[in-house]
Amino acid sequence: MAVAAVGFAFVVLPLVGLLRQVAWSQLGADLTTPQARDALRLSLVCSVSATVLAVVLGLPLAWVLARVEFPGRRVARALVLLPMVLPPVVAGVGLFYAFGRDGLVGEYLYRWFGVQLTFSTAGAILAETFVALPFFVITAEAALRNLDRRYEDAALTLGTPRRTVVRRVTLPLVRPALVAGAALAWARALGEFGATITFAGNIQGRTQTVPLAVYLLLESRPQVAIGLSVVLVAVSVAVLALLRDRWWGGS
Amino acid sequence: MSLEAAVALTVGMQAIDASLDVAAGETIALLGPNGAGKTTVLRALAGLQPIGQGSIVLDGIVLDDGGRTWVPPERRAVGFVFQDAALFPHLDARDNVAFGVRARGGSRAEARRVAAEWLDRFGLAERATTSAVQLSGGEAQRVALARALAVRPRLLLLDEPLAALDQQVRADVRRDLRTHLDAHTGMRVLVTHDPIDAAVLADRIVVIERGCVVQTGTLGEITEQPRSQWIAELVGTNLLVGDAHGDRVRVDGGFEVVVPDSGFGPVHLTIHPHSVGLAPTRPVGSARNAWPTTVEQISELGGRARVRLQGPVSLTAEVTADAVRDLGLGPGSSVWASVKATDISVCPR
Repeated sequence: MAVAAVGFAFVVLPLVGLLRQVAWSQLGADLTTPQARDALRLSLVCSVSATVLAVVLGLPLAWVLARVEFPGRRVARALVLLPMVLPPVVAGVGLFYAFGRDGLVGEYLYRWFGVQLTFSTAGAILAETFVALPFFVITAEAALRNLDRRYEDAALTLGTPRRTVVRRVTLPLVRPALVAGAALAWARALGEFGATITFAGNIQGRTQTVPLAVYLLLESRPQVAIGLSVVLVAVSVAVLALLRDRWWGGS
Repeated sequence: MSLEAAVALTVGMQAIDASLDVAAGETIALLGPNGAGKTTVLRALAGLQPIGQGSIVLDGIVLDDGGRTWVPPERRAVGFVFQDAALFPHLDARDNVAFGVRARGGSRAEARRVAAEWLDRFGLAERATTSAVQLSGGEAQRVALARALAVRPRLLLLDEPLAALDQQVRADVRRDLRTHLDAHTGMRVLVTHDPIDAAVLADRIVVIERGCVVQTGTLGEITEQPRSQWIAELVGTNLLVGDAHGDRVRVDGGFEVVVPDSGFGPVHLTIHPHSVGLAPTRPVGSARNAWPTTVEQISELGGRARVRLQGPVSLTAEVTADAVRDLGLGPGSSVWASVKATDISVCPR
Protein backbone atom coordinates (compact mmCIF):
# COMPACT_ATOMS: atom_id res chain seq x y z
CA MET A 1 0.00 0.00 0.00
CA ALA A 2 2.71 2.46 1.05
CA VAL A 3 4.78 1.75 -2.05
CA ALA A 4 1.69 2.07 -4.21
CA ALA A 5 0.98 5.45 -2.62
CA VAL A 6 4.53 6.58 -3.34
CA GLY A 7 4.14 5.42 -6.93
CA PHE A 8 0.87 7.28 -7.30
CA ALA A 9 2.30 10.42 -5.74
CA PHE A 10 5.28 10.19 -8.06
CA VAL A 11 2.94 10.29 -11.06
CA VAL A 12 0.72 13.05 -9.72
CA LEU A 13 3.20 15.42 -8.03
CA PRO A 14 4.75 16.91 -11.21
CA LEU A 15 1.25 17.73 -12.39
CA VAL A 16 0.41 19.43 -9.09
CA GLY A 17 3.71 21.25 -9.15
CA LEU A 18 2.99 22.57 -12.62
CA LEU A 19 -0.56 23.63 -11.87
CA ARG A 20 0.55 25.45 -8.67
CA GLN A 21 2.80 27.70 -10.74
CA VAL A 22 0.09 28.79 -13.15
CA ALA A 23 -0.88 32.44 -12.96
CA TRP A 24 -4.50 31.79 -13.94
CA SER A 25 -5.44 35.47 -14.25
CA GLN A 26 -2.50 36.01 -16.61
CA LEU A 27 -3.10 32.84 -18.63
CA GLY A 28 -5.07 34.56 -21.41
CA ALA A 29 -2.44 37.23 -21.88
CA ASP A 30 0.45 34.73 -21.71
CA LEU A 31 -1.08 32.51 -24.38
CA THR A 32 -1.69 35.40 -26.75
CA THR A 33 1.91 36.64 -26.80
CA PRO A 34 3.18 36.43 -30.40
CA GLN A 35 5.60 33.61 -29.63
CA ALA A 36 2.92 31.54 -27.86
CA ARG A 37 0.37 32.16 -30.60
CA ASP A 38 2.85 31.17 -33.30
CA ALA A 39 3.73 28.01 -31.39
CA LEU A 40 0.10 27.06 -30.80
CA ARG A 41 -0.88 27.67 -34.42
CA LEU A 42 2.14 25.77 -35.70
CA SER A 43 1.59 22.86 -33.33
CA LEU A 44 -2.02 22.57 -34.47
CA VAL A 45 -1.07 22.64 -38.15
CA CYS A 46 1.85 20.22 -37.75
CA SER A 47 0.15 17.71 -35.45
CA VAL A 48 -3.03 17.55 -37.53
CA SER A 49 -1.03 17.20 -40.77
CA ALA A 50 1.14 14.52 -39.16
CA THR A 51 -1.96 12.64 -38.00
CA VAL A 52 -3.49 12.77 -41.47
CA LEU A 53 -0.22 11.52 -42.97
CA ALA A 54 0.03 8.79 -40.33
CA VAL A 55 -3.49 7.59 -41.20
CA VAL A 56 -2.98 7.80 -44.97
CA LEU A 57 0.34 5.95 -44.86
CA GLY A 58 -0.43 3.84 -41.81
CA LEU A 59 -3.71 2.24 -42.83
CA PRO A 60 -2.36 0.43 -45.92
CA LEU A 61 0.72 -0.51 -43.91
CA ALA A 62 -1.38 -1.89 -41.05
CA TRP A 63 -3.50 -3.78 -43.60
CA VAL A 64 -0.49 -5.46 -45.19
CA LEU A 65 1.05 -6.32 -41.81
CA ALA A 66 -2.25 -7.74 -40.55
CA ARG A 67 -3.56 -9.50 -43.62
CA VAL A 68 -0.81 -10.34 -46.12
CA GLU A 69 1.49 -13.29 -45.51
CA PHE A 70 5.02 -12.55 -46.68
CA PRO A 71 8.47 -13.64 -45.58
CA GLY A 72 9.98 -11.27 -43.06
CA ARG A 73 6.62 -9.99 -41.87
CA ARG A 74 7.68 -10.16 -38.23
CA VAL A 75 10.82 -8.19 -38.98
CA ALA A 76 8.82 -5.63 -40.96
CA ARG A 77 6.38 -5.26 -38.07
CA ALA A 78 9.22 -4.74 -35.61
CA LEU A 79 10.84 -2.12 -37.88
CA VAL A 80 7.60 -0.20 -38.21
CA LEU A 81 7.24 -0.09 -34.44
CA LEU A 82 10.85 0.94 -33.87
CA PRO A 83 10.16 4.71 -33.71
CA MET A 84 8.07 4.03 -30.59
CA VAL A 85 11.15 3.04 -28.62
CA LEU A 86 13.85 4.86 -30.57
CA PRO A 87 15.22 7.97 -28.77
CA PRO A 88 13.60 10.88 -30.68
CA VAL A 89 16.94 12.65 -31.04
CA VAL A 90 18.27 9.62 -32.89
CA ALA A 91 15.16 9.69 -35.05
CA GLY A 92 15.97 13.32 -35.85
CA VAL A 93 19.52 12.42 -36.82
CA GLY A 94 18.22 9.60 -39.00
CA LEU A 95 15.70 11.89 -40.67
CA PHE A 96 18.50 14.41 -41.27
CA TYR A 97 20.61 11.89 -43.14
CA ALA A 98 17.60 10.59 -45.09
CA PHE A 99 15.69 13.75 -45.96
CA GLY A 100 18.22 16.50 -45.20
CA ARG A 101 19.83 18.42 -48.06
CA ASP A 102 22.70 15.94 -48.26
CA GLY A 103 20.56 12.96 -47.26
CA LEU A 104 19.77 9.74 -49.04
CA VAL A 105 16.56 11.06 -50.58
CA GLY A 106 16.83 14.70 -49.58
CA GLU A 107 19.70 15.34 -51.98
CA TYR A 108 17.51 14.48 -54.96
CA LEU A 109 14.48 16.27 -53.54
CA TYR A 110 16.62 19.41 -53.42
CA ARG A 111 18.41 18.90 -56.72
CA TRP A 112 15.36 17.95 -58.79
CA PHE A 113 12.50 19.79 -57.11
CA GLY A 114 14.27 22.43 -55.04
CA VAL A 115 12.59 21.04 -51.95
CA GLN A 116 14.40 21.49 -48.67
CA LEU A 117 12.78 19.84 -45.66
CA THR A 118 15.25 20.78 -42.94
CA PHE A 119 14.34 23.99 -41.09
CA SER A 120 10.89 24.04 -42.71
CA THR A 121 7.38 23.45 -41.44
CA ALA A 122 7.21 20.42 -43.76
CA GLY A 123 10.24 19.07 -41.93
CA ALA A 124 8.53 19.51 -38.57
CA ILE A 125 5.50 17.65 -39.95
CA LEU A 126 7.76 14.89 -41.25
CA ALA A 127 9.47 14.49 -37.88
CA GLU A 128 6.13 14.31 -36.06
CA THR A 129 4.76 11.83 -38.58
CA PHE A 130 7.78 9.60 -38.10
CA VAL A 131 7.26 9.26 -34.36
CA ALA A 132 3.44 9.20 -34.51
CA LEU A 133 3.01 6.61 -37.30
CA PRO A 134 3.66 3.48 -35.18
CA PHE A 135 1.00 4.47 -32.66
CA PHE A 136 -1.61 4.44 -35.39
CA VAL A 137 -0.23 1.36 -37.15
CA ILE A 138 -0.08 -0.80 -34.02
CA THR A 139 -3.67 0.05 -33.08
CA ALA A 140 -5.07 -0.37 -36.59
CA GLU A 141 -3.14 -3.56 -37.21
CA ALA A 142 -4.38 -5.18 -34.01
CA ALA A 143 -7.97 -4.30 -34.91
CA LEU A 144 -7.64 -5.65 -38.45
CA ARG A 145 -6.00 -8.83 -37.22
CA ASN A 146 -8.58 -9.47 -34.51
CA LEU A 147 -11.62 -8.67 -36.63
CA ASP A 148 -13.82 -11.74 -37.07
CA ARG A 149 -13.24 -12.60 -40.71
CA ARG A 150 -16.71 -14.08 -41.04
CA TYR A 151 -18.19 -10.59 -41.43
CA GLU A 152 -16.10 -10.06 -44.54
CA ASP A 153 -16.78 -13.64 -45.68
CA ALA A 154 -20.50 -13.03 -45.25
CA ALA A 155 -20.31 -9.87 -47.36
CA LEU A 156 -18.39 -11.74 -50.08
CA THR A 157 -20.92 -14.58 -50.25
CA LEU A 158 -23.63 -11.94 -50.64
CA GLY A 159 -21.93 -10.92 -53.88
CA THR A 160 -20.13 -7.83 -52.61
CA PRO A 161 -17.08 -6.72 -54.63
CA ARG A 162 -13.92 -6.73 -52.50
CA ARG A 163 -13.49 -2.95 -52.46
CA THR A 164 -17.06 -2.54 -51.30
CA VAL A 165 -16.46 -5.09 -48.53
CA VAL A 166 -13.59 -2.95 -47.27
CA ARG A 167 -15.65 0.22 -47.44
CA ARG A 168 -18.92 -1.09 -46.05
CA VAL A 169 -17.83 -3.82 -43.63
CA THR A 170 -14.16 -3.79 -42.66
CA LEU A 171 -13.62 -0.07 -42.12
CA PRO A 172 -16.88 0.57 -40.25
CA LEU A 173 -16.12 -2.34 -37.93
CA VAL A 174 -12.59 -1.21 -37.10
CA ARG A 175 -13.49 2.48 -36.99
CA PRO A 176 -13.35 2.79 -33.17
CA ALA A 177 -9.80 1.43 -33.24
CA LEU A 178 -8.84 3.75 -36.09
CA VAL A 179 -10.15 6.75 -34.13
CA ALA A 180 -8.26 5.63 -31.04
CA GLY A 181 -5.07 5.06 -33.04
CA ALA A 182 -5.39 8.49 -34.68
CA ALA A 183 -5.91 10.13 -31.28
CA LEU A 184 -2.81 8.41 -29.91
CA ALA A 185 -0.80 9.42 -32.96
CA TRP A 186 -2.03 12.99 -32.66
CA ALA A 187 -1.13 13.21 -28.98
CA ARG A 188 2.33 11.83 -29.71
CA ALA A 189 2.81 14.26 -32.61
CA LEU A 190 1.71 17.19 -30.48
CA GLY A 191 4.28 16.40 -27.80
CA GLU A 192 7.11 15.71 -30.23
CA PHE A 193 10.35 17.45 -29.26
CA GLY A 194 13.58 15.58 -29.92
CA ALA A 195 13.17 14.61 -33.56
CA THR A 196 11.69 17.98 -34.48
CA ILE A 197 14.43 20.10 -32.91
CA THR A 198 17.14 17.85 -34.35
CA PHE A 199 15.76 17.62 -37.86
CA ALA A 200 13.72 20.79 -38.34
CA GLY A 201 15.37 23.18 -35.90
CA ASN A 202 13.78 25.73 -33.59
CA ILE A 203 12.58 28.65 -35.69
CA GLN A 204 9.66 30.68 -34.37
CA GLY A 205 6.64 30.54 -36.67
CA ARG A 206 8.22 27.88 -38.88
CA THR A 207 9.34 24.90 -36.80
CA GLN A 208 8.95 26.06 -33.22
CA THR A 209 6.05 23.96 -31.99
CA VAL A 210 4.64 24.24 -28.45
CA PRO A 211 7.09 21.80 -26.77
CA LEU A 212 10.04 23.60 -28.38
CA ALA A 213 8.67 26.95 -27.27
CA VAL A 214 8.18 25.67 -23.73
CA TYR A 215 11.79 24.53 -23.60
CA LEU A 216 13.09 27.83 -24.95
CA LEU A 217 10.86 30.11 -22.88
CA LEU A 218 11.32 28.35 -19.54
CA GLU A 219 14.45 30.47 -18.98
CA SER A 220 13.33 33.82 -20.38
CA ARG A 221 9.56 33.89 -19.83
CA PRO A 222 8.57 31.04 -17.50
CA GLN A 223 4.93 32.15 -17.20
CA VAL A 224 4.38 31.71 -20.96
CA ALA A 225 6.14 28.32 -20.86
CA ILE A 226 3.91 27.23 -17.99
CA GLY A 227 0.79 28.47 -19.77
CA LEU A 228 1.69 26.47 -22.88
CA SER A 229 2.38 23.42 -20.69
CA VAL A 230 -1.09 23.70 -19.21
CA VAL A 231 -2.53 23.62 -22.73
CA LEU A 232 -0.65 20.38 -23.42
CA VAL A 233 -1.90 18.89 -20.13
CA ALA A 234 -5.48 19.80 -21.05
CA VAL A 235 -5.08 18.18 -24.46
CA SER A 236 -3.64 15.01 -22.91
CA VAL A 237 -6.56 14.78 -20.52
CA ALA A 238 -8.96 15.25 -23.44
CA VAL A 239 -7.30 12.41 -25.39
CA LEU A 240 -7.55 10.14 -22.35
CA ALA A 241 -11.23 10.99 -22.07
CA LEU A 242 -11.72 10.20 -25.76
CA LEU A 243 -10.09 6.80 -25.26
CA ARG A 244 -11.92 6.10 -22.04
CA ASP A 245 -14.36 3.55 -23.45
CA ARG A 246 -11.51 1.70 -25.03
CA TRP A 247 -9.14 1.50 -22.09
CA TRP A 248 -11.00 2.27 -18.95
CA GLY A 249 -13.56 -0.31 -19.90
CA GLY A 250 -16.39 1.29 -17.92
CA SER A 251 -14.75 0.65 -14.55
CA MET B 1 -29.43 -28.13 -62.04
CA SER B 2 -27.13 -29.83 -59.63
CA LEU B 3 -23.98 -29.60 -57.61
CA GLU B 4 -21.19 -32.08 -58.05
CA ALA B 5 -18.29 -31.60 -55.72
CA ALA B 6 -15.11 -33.54 -55.07
CA VAL B 7 -13.19 -31.57 -52.52
CA ALA B 8 -9.63 -32.39 -51.48
CA LEU B 9 -7.53 -30.01 -49.47
CA THR B 10 -5.40 -29.74 -46.40
CA VAL B 11 -6.04 -27.11 -43.74
CA GLY B 12 -3.36 -26.97 -41.10
CA MET B 13 -2.90 -30.56 -39.96
CA GLN B 14 -6.17 -31.84 -41.35
CA ALA B 15 -6.53 -33.52 -44.75
CA ILE B 16 -9.99 -33.48 -46.26
CA ASP B 17 -11.15 -35.63 -49.14
CA ALA B 18 -14.89 -35.68 -49.66
CA SER B 19 -17.31 -36.00 -52.57
CA LEU B 20 -20.96 -35.09 -52.68
CA ASP B 21 -23.73 -34.56 -55.17
CA VAL B 22 -26.80 -32.48 -54.59
CA ALA B 23 -29.84 -32.36 -56.88
CA ALA B 24 -32.12 -29.36 -57.34
CA GLY B 25 -34.60 -29.00 -54.51
CA GLU B 26 -32.63 -31.33 -52.29
CA THR B 27 -31.19 -30.71 -48.83
CA ILE B 28 -28.05 -32.60 -47.87
CA ALA B 29 -26.78 -32.72 -44.31
CA LEU B 30 -23.07 -33.14 -43.66
CA LEU B 31 -23.18 -34.94 -40.33
CA GLY B 32 -20.15 -35.67 -38.22
CA PRO B 33 -18.36 -35.00 -34.95
CA ASN B 34 -16.73 -31.65 -34.22
CA GLY B 35 -13.48 -31.21 -36.09
CA ALA B 36 -14.41 -33.68 -38.86
CA GLY B 37 -13.86 -31.06 -41.56
CA LYS B 38 -17.52 -30.39 -42.38
CA THR B 39 -17.21 -26.61 -42.22
CA THR B 40 -14.11 -26.68 -44.39
CA VAL B 41 -16.05 -28.51 -47.11
CA LEU B 42 -18.77 -25.86 -46.87
CA ARG B 43 -16.23 -23.03 -47.08
CA ALA B 44 -14.72 -24.66 -50.16
CA LEU B 45 -18.15 -24.80 -51.82
CA ALA B 46 -18.63 -21.10 -51.05
CA GLY B 47 -15.21 -20.17 -52.42
CA LEU B 48 -13.93 -18.99 -49.04
CA GLN B 49 -11.32 -21.76 -49.12
CA PRO B 50 -9.69 -22.82 -52.40
CA ILE B 51 -9.39 -26.58 -52.87
CA GLY B 52 -6.16 -28.42 -53.53
CA GLN B 53 -7.52 -31.12 -55.84
CA GLY B 54 -10.87 -32.19 -57.22
CA SER B 55 -13.58 -29.98 -58.65
CA ILE B 56 -16.70 -28.11 -57.70
CA VAL B 57 -19.28 -27.89 -60.48
CA LEU B 58 -22.51 -25.97 -59.96
CA ASP B 59 -25.16 -26.15 -62.70
CA GLY B 60 -22.50 -27.24 -65.17
CA ILE B 61 -20.18 -24.33 -64.36
CA VAL B 62 -16.78 -25.17 -62.91
CA LEU B 63 -16.29 -23.03 -59.80
CA ASP B 64 -13.00 -24.55 -58.67
CA ASP B 65 -10.79 -27.25 -60.16
CA GLY B 66 -7.94 -26.93 -57.72
CA GLY B 67 -5.84 -25.15 -60.31
CA ARG B 68 -6.55 -22.70 -63.09
CA THR B 69 -10.23 -22.13 -62.46
CA TRP B 70 -11.36 -20.48 -59.27
CA VAL B 71 -14.50 -18.38 -59.18
CA PRO B 72 -14.28 -16.01 -56.19
CA PRO B 73 -17.08 -16.18 -53.59
CA GLU B 74 -18.59 -12.84 -54.63
CA ARG B 75 -19.22 -14.21 -58.13
CA ARG B 76 -20.77 -17.54 -57.08
CA ALA B 77 -24.53 -17.88 -56.80
CA VAL B 78 -24.05 -19.29 -53.34
CA GLY B 79 -25.58 -18.19 -50.04
CA PHE B 80 -23.90 -18.86 -46.70
CA VAL B 81 -25.54 -18.92 -43.28
CA PHE B 82 -22.83 -18.80 -40.62
CA GLN B 83 -22.78 -20.39 -37.21
CA ASP B 84 -23.84 -17.71 -34.65
CA ALA B 85 -25.46 -15.85 -37.59
CA ALA B 86 -22.50 -13.43 -38.07
CA LEU B 87 -24.85 -10.52 -38.77
CA PHE B 88 -23.11 -7.22 -39.50
CA PRO B 89 -23.04 -5.72 -35.99
CA HIS B 90 -23.02 -2.12 -37.24
CA LEU B 91 -26.29 -2.50 -39.17
CA ASP B 92 -29.90 -3.13 -38.19
CA ALA B 93 -31.89 -6.22 -39.18
CA ARG B 94 -33.27 -4.62 -42.36
CA ASP B 95 -29.92 -3.35 -43.63
CA ASN B 96 -28.40 -6.77 -42.96
CA VAL B 97 -30.98 -8.37 -45.23
CA ALA B 98 -30.73 -5.52 -47.76
CA PHE B 99 -26.92 -5.78 -47.89
CA GLY B 100 -26.71 -8.38 -50.64
CA VAL B 101 -29.29 -6.71 -52.86
CA ARG B 102 -27.40 -3.40 -52.56
CA ALA B 103 -24.08 -5.12 -53.21
CA ARG B 104 -25.45 -6.64 -56.40
CA GLY B 105 -26.36 -3.23 -57.75
CA GLY B 106 -29.89 -2.76 -56.44
CA SER B 107 -30.97 0.73 -55.44
CA ARG B 108 -31.34 1.57 -51.76
CA ALA B 109 -35.14 1.73 -52.12
CA GLU B 110 -35.32 -1.63 -53.88
CA ALA B 111 -32.99 -3.26 -51.36
CA ARG B 112 -35.10 -2.01 -48.46
CA ARG B 113 -38.29 -3.20 -50.13
CA VAL B 114 -36.87 -6.69 -50.69
CA ALA B 115 -35.53 -6.76 -47.12
CA ALA B 116 -38.91 -5.74 -45.71
CA GLU B 117 -40.58 -8.56 -47.66
CA TRP B 118 -38.15 -11.14 -46.30
CA LEU B 119 -38.39 -9.93 -42.73
CA ASP B 120 -42.17 -10.06 -43.05
CA ARG B 121 -42.00 -13.62 -44.32
CA PHE B 122 -39.89 -14.55 -41.28
CA GLY B 123 -42.27 -12.81 -38.86
CA LEU B 124 -39.67 -10.18 -38.04
CA ALA B 125 -41.30 -7.11 -39.59
CA GLU B 126 -41.35 -5.12 -36.36
CA ARG B 127 -37.68 -5.92 -35.63
CA ALA B 128 -36.57 -4.29 -38.92
CA THR B 129 -34.85 -1.30 -37.32
CA THR B 130 -33.43 -3.23 -34.37
CA SER B 131 -29.65 -3.28 -34.27
CA ALA B 132 -28.22 -6.69 -35.14
CA VAL B 133 -26.48 -6.97 -31.77
CA GLN B 134 -29.78 -6.56 -29.94
CA LEU B 135 -31.61 -9.41 -31.69
CA SER B 136 -32.14 -12.64 -29.76
CA GLY B 137 -30.29 -15.75 -30.90
CA GLY B 138 -33.33 -17.14 -32.69
CA GLU B 139 -34.11 -13.84 -34.37
CA ALA B 140 -30.50 -13.36 -35.45
CA GLN B 141 -30.45 -16.80 -37.03
CA ARG B 142 -33.63 -16.09 -38.97
CA VAL B 143 -32.29 -12.72 -40.13
CA ALA B 144 -29.10 -14.50 -41.24
CA LEU B 145 -31.18 -16.95 -43.28
CA ALA B 146 -33.23 -14.09 -44.76
CA ARG B 147 -30.00 -12.24 -45.62
CA ALA B 148 -28.67 -15.27 -47.49
CA LEU B 149 -31.96 -16.03 -49.26
CA ALA B 150 -32.63 -12.40 -50.30
CA VAL B 151 -30.08 -12.67 -53.13
CA ARG B 152 -31.77 -15.87 -54.39
CA PRO B 153 -28.73 -18.19 -54.33
CA ARG B 154 -28.77 -21.38 -56.41
CA LEU B 155 -26.92 -23.14 -53.62
CA LEU B 156 -27.59 -22.38 -49.96
CA LEU B 157 -24.99 -23.42 -47.40
CA LEU B 158 -25.78 -23.53 -43.69
CA ASP B 159 -23.06 -24.01 -41.09
CA GLU B 160 -24.46 -25.38 -37.81
CA PRO B 161 -27.42 -23.01 -38.09
CA LEU B 162 -28.95 -24.20 -34.81
CA ALA B 163 -25.88 -24.88 -32.69
CA ALA B 164 -25.86 -21.49 -30.96
CA LEU B 165 -29.49 -21.69 -29.84
CA ASP B 166 -30.83 -23.03 -26.57
CA GLN B 167 -33.07 -26.09 -26.58
CA GLN B 168 -36.55 -24.51 -26.64
CA VAL B 169 -35.76 -21.90 -29.32
CA ARG B 170 -33.92 -24.57 -31.23
CA ALA B 171 -37.02 -26.70 -31.79
CA ASP B 172 -38.98 -23.66 -33.04
CA VAL B 173 -36.25 -22.40 -35.34
CA ARG B 174 -35.65 -25.92 -36.65
CA ARG B 175 -39.30 -26.26 -37.68
CA ASP B 176 -39.30 -22.79 -39.31
CA LEU B 177 -36.04 -23.56 -41.03
CA ARG B 178 -37.50 -26.69 -42.62
CA THR B 179 -40.39 -24.63 -44.02
CA HIS B 180 -38.07 -21.98 -45.45
CA LEU B 181 -35.67 -24.54 -46.88
CA ASP B 182 -38.56 -26.24 -48.65
CA ALA B 183 -39.58 -22.88 -50.14
CA HIS B 184 -36.11 -22.40 -51.60
CA THR B 185 -35.96 -23.86 -55.10
CA GLY B 186 -32.21 -24.40 -55.30
CA MET B 187 -29.90 -26.83 -53.54
CA ARG B 188 -29.07 -26.83 -49.85
CA VAL B 189 -26.09 -28.20 -47.96
CA LEU B 190 -26.25 -28.13 -44.19
CA VAL B 191 -23.51 -28.86 -41.70
CA THR B 192 -24.47 -30.27 -38.30
CA HIS B 193 -23.24 -32.55 -35.55
CA ASP B 194 -26.81 -33.18 -34.37
CA PRO B 195 -28.60 -36.17 -35.99
CA ILE B 196 -31.96 -34.64 -35.11
CA ASP B 197 -31.16 -31.49 -37.10
CA ALA B 198 -30.03 -33.71 -39.95
CA ALA B 199 -33.15 -35.88 -39.78
CA VAL B 200 -35.60 -32.96 -39.66
CA LEU B 201 -33.91 -30.68 -42.17
CA ALA B 202 -32.27 -32.92 -44.74
CA ASP B 203 -33.41 -35.35 -47.40
CA ARG B 204 -30.12 -37.18 -47.40
CA ILE B 205 -27.27 -37.42 -44.91
CA VAL B 206 -23.56 -37.58 -45.66
CA VAL B 207 -21.55 -38.73 -42.66
CA ILE B 208 -18.08 -37.18 -42.47
CA GLU B 209 -15.38 -38.30 -40.09
CA ARG B 210 -11.75 -37.19 -40.04
CA GLY B 211 -12.19 -35.40 -43.36
CA CYS B 212 -13.67 -38.36 -45.25
CA VAL B 213 -17.17 -39.39 -46.25
CA VAL B 214 -17.90 -42.64 -44.41
CA GLN B 215 -21.54 -43.15 -45.29
CA THR B 216 -24.40 -41.66 -47.31
CA GLY B 217 -28.09 -42.35 -46.92
CA THR B 218 -31.27 -41.49 -45.07
CA LEU B 219 -31.17 -41.31 -41.30
CA GLY B 220 -32.93 -44.70 -41.16
CA GLU B 221 -30.33 -46.35 -43.36
CA ILE B 222 -27.48 -44.80 -41.41
CA THR B 223 -28.70 -45.72 -37.95
CA GLU B 224 -29.68 -49.24 -38.99
CA GLN B 225 -26.26 -50.08 -40.32
CA PRO B 226 -23.79 -47.49 -39.06
CA ARG B 227 -20.41 -47.49 -40.72
CA SER B 228 -18.67 -45.38 -38.16
CA GLN B 229 -18.00 -45.65 -34.45
CA TRP B 230 -19.32 -42.13 -33.96
CA ILE B 231 -22.74 -42.87 -35.45
CA ALA B 232 -22.90 -46.25 -33.73
CA GLU B 233 -22.28 -44.70 -30.35
CA LEU B 234 -24.70 -41.94 -31.15
CA VAL B 235 -27.54 -44.37 -31.84
CA GLY B 236 -26.41 -46.80 -29.16
CA THR B 237 -25.43 -49.67 -31.43
CA ASN B 238 -22.26 -51.73 -31.12
CA LEU B 239 -20.06 -51.48 -34.17
CA LEU B 240 -17.12 -53.81 -34.72
CA VAL B 241 -14.66 -53.68 -37.57
CA GLY B 242 -13.03 -56.90 -38.76
CA ASP B 243 -12.12 -59.32 -41.53
CA ALA B 244 -14.44 -62.16 -42.43
CA HIS B 245 -13.24 -65.71 -43.09
CA GLY B 246 -16.35 -67.82 -43.73
CA ASP B 247 -18.45 -67.84 -40.57
CA ARG B 248 -15.72 -66.23 -38.49
CA VAL B 249 -14.80 -62.58 -38.29
CA ARG B 250 -11.49 -61.60 -36.83
CA VAL B 251 -12.04 -58.22 -35.18
CA ASP B 252 -9.54 -55.62 -34.02
CA GLY B 253 -7.45 -57.15 -31.25
CA GLY B 254 -7.38 -60.56 -32.91
CA PHE B 255 -10.48 -61.95 -31.27
CA GLU B 256 -12.83 -64.09 -33.37
CA VAL B 257 -16.58 -63.63 -33.56
CA VAL B 258 -18.87 -66.33 -34.95
CA VAL B 259 -21.38 -64.99 -37.47
CA PRO B 260 -24.11 -66.61 -39.56
CA ASP B 261 -23.17 -65.25 -42.97
CA SER B 262 -20.24 -66.65 -44.76
CA GLY B 263 -18.02 -64.33 -46.72
CA PHE B 264 -14.51 -63.01 -46.98
CA GLY B 265 -12.91 -59.62 -46.67
CA PRO B 266 -13.31 -56.52 -44.59
CA VAL B 267 -16.69 -56.16 -42.87
CA HIS B 268 -18.66 -54.15 -40.33
CA LEU B 269 -20.49 -56.04 -37.59
CA THR B 270 -23.40 -54.42 -35.79
CA ILE B 271 -24.83 -55.86 -32.60
CA HIS B 272 -27.85 -54.30 -30.94
CA PRO B 273 -27.34 -53.85 -27.19
CA HIS B 274 -30.53 -55.78 -26.38
CA SER B 275 -29.03 -58.81 -28.17
CA VAL B 276 -26.18 -59.00 -25.67
CA GLY B 277 -26.90 -61.46 -22.82
CA LEU B 278 -25.19 -61.29 -19.43
CA ALA B 279 -24.45 -64.26 -17.13
CA PRO B 280 -22.36 -64.82 -13.96
CA THR B 281 -20.56 -67.84 -15.46
CA ARG B 282 -19.76 -69.06 -18.95
CA PRO B 283 -23.21 -69.62 -20.47
CA VAL B 284 -24.09 -73.07 -21.84
CA GLY B 285 -26.67 -72.79 -24.58
CA SER B 286 -27.21 -71.69 -28.14
CA ALA B 287 -25.14 -68.50 -28.05
CA ARG B 288 -22.09 -69.05 -30.27
CA ASN B 289 -20.19 -66.10 -28.82
CA ALA B 290 -19.30 -65.69 -25.16
CA TRP B 291 -16.45 -63.85 -23.52
CA PRO B 292 -15.55 -62.66 -20.03
CA THR B 293 -15.82 -58.92 -19.50
CA THR B 294 -15.56 -56.26 -16.82
CA VAL B 295 -18.32 -53.72 -16.20
CA GLU B 296 -17.08 -50.23 -16.91
CA GLN B 297 -20.20 -48.18 -16.43
CA ILE B 298 -23.94 -48.68 -15.84
CA SER B 299 -26.59 -46.10 -16.74
CA GLU B 300 -30.23 -46.73 -15.85
CA LEU B 301 -33.22 -45.19 -17.53
CA GLY B 302 -36.72 -46.26 -16.56
CA GLY B 303 -36.65 -50.02 -16.05
CA ARG B 304 -33.71 -50.46 -18.43
CA ALA B 305 -29.99 -50.37 -17.88
CA ARG B 306 -27.21 -49.85 -20.39
CA VAL B 307 -24.09 -51.69 -19.29
CA ARG B 308 -20.78 -50.71 -20.84
CA LEU B 309 -18.44 -53.73 -20.93
CA GLN B 310 -14.66 -53.87 -21.33
CA GLY B 311 -13.17 -57.12 -22.57
CA PRO B 312 -11.60 -58.76 -25.60
CA VAL B 313 -14.53 -57.17 -27.42
CA SER B 314 -15.96 -54.00 -25.88
CA LEU B 315 -19.75 -53.87 -26.04
CA THR B 316 -22.75 -52.13 -24.63
CA ALA B 317 -25.51 -54.42 -23.33
CA GLU B 318 -29.06 -53.37 -22.64
CA VAL B 319 -30.82 -55.40 -19.93
CA THR B 320 -33.52 -54.74 -17.34
CA ALA B 321 -32.62 -52.90 -14.16
CA ASP B 322 -33.80 -55.97 -12.24
CA ALA B 323 -31.26 -58.13 -14.05
CA VAL B 324 -28.46 -55.77 -13.02
CA ARG B 325 -29.53 -56.14 -9.37
CA ASP B 326 -29.97 -59.94 -9.56
CA LEU B 327 -26.48 -60.30 -11.06
CA GLY B 328 -25.08 -57.89 -8.47
CA LEU B 329 -23.38 -55.79 -11.16
CA GLY B 330 -21.49 -52.57 -10.49
CA PRO B 331 -18.48 -50.89 -12.04
CA GLY B 332 -15.57 -53.32 -11.90
CA SER B 333 -17.57 -56.53 -11.53
CA SER B 334 -16.90 -59.48 -13.82
CA VAL B 335 -19.60 -60.88 -16.06
CA TRP B 336 -19.86 -63.11 -19.12
CA ALA B 337 -21.35 -61.54 -22.23
CA SER B 338 -22.93 -63.65 -24.95
CA VAL B 339 -24.33 -62.94 -28.39
CA LYS B 340 -26.10 -65.36 -30.72
CA ALA B 341 -24.46 -65.48 -34.11
CA THR B 342 -27.84 -64.77 -35.72
CA ASP B 343 -28.11 -61.48 -33.82
CA ILE B 344 -25.01 -60.13 -35.52
CA SER B 345 -25.46 -58.40 -38.83
CA VAL B 346 -22.55 -58.31 -41.21
CA CYS B 347 -22.01 -55.94 -44.07
CA PRO B 348 -18.98 -55.52 -46.27
CA ARG B 349 -17.09 -52.29 -45.85
